[in-house]
Amino acid sequence: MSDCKKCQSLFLEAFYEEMNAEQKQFFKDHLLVCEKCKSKFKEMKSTLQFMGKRVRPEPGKIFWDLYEERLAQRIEKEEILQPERESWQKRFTRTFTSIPKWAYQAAAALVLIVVGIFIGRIVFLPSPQEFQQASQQPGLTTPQQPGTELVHRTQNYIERSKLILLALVNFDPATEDPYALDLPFQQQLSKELVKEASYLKRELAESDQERLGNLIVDLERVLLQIANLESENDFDAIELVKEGVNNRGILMQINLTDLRRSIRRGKSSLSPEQPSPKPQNF
Amino acid sequence: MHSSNRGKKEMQPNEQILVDRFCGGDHSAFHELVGQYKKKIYFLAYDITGDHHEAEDISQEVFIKMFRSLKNFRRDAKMSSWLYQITVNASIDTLRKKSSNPKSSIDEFDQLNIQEGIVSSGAHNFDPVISAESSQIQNHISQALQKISPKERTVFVMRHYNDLKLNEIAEILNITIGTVKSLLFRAIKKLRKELSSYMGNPVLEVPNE
Repeated sequence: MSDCKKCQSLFLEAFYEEMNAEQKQFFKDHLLVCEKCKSKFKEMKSTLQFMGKRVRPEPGKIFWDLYEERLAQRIEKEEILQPERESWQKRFTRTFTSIPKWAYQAAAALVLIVVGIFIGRIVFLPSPQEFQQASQQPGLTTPQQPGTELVHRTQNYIERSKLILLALVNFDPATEDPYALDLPFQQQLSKELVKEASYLKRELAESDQERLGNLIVDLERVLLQIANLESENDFDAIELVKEGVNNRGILMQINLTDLRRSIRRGKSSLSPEQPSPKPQNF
Repeated sequence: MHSSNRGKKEMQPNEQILVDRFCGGDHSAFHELVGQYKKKIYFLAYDITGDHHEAEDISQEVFIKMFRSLKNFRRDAKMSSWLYQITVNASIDTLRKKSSNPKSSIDEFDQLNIQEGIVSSGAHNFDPVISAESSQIQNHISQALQKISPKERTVFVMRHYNDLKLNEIAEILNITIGTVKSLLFRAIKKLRKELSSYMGNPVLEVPNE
């Protein structure tokens, strides 16, 4: 370290008188021969001396005389609140421990049944359109059914979009290499899918497939966001896309669509064209 | 304002006695400790926040924490360092909360008390012109202090107005002495820049000691 650097690193100790004898001697000797350090030190000293002119506002005697009283009141208040909170907790615990165990078990079972029924109604109940279609073609699922080709294309679209979303949602910038995501490739795919979405939406609207149409609209928005990402290191934007996917429950919607499709497949496998393993007795 | 060498910051024997008395159920020992530290804690919080009401609130919070934790206080720890640490953390937290709702750097209370402080300090005979100039200096200094970052301000006020040595500041803030010095240098440089126009004024020139 040059003498000037060493000297300047001691400026604070010099001003605040925190130097040992050796440092003091060095500092004094160096300032005698170095005008540059001398002027720099003078400059710093004048700033600190100016700052030393600050007068702290004195709150006054009354403030200090009553300080401990106010503190005691505050402590008392907080100490009083504490036992109150404890007693409330105790009361709560006592109330709930007095109820017999079987009552909790029965209540839990009831809640589970209600939740199960609710989920079952939401997930497995076919939409009015599907119900209407099914009632119009009892027991028949022909490959030439009108709209089947559109549904098939939509499913294919959803599958491809799902892959992109999964890659993005499962990507964790803290633990994974951003290049592993291959964002430019995902963006290219997203652009193609966005283009395709405009046709699909129209066709789905014409064939009254409202639910699938809504899903495609949601997918289109997210894919557009992905296509417009500026850089693969823009983690904030990626987080925003992830949030969008989560908030709209898109993956959940896709899973439900898959589930419905598999249920329909299961039903069609039991249709008269493909005889069931055990013929029913009428 | 700055001081020369001061005594070491280890837990003083009388502090140990006070802690022992408090642990034995004597609450008057707590009040003695408060009496010993209240001004130091209040002024450190005031220097960092620049707000009298916040400073009082923070200092009381510090003593409430002390009241609750004194029984578990380690005997080998330094009481002053522990209290300063809580004060700095609480002050910086307050600044963080306030940053979304900034207030003027100097409130009416401060303005009034600065005037009173100048008059009562006896530094000047009461001359309205000198008083106005001094009040102006106080405003400039307060504003300059508010313009540096909270970290720089904390280190600066700890050293310059609260007589804490560089190594003590490093210990309280849990940083190296090098970092303390670097923050101080940065603070002084910024303060000089902020005050350059006033410091050039011969009326405000500080005489060489």
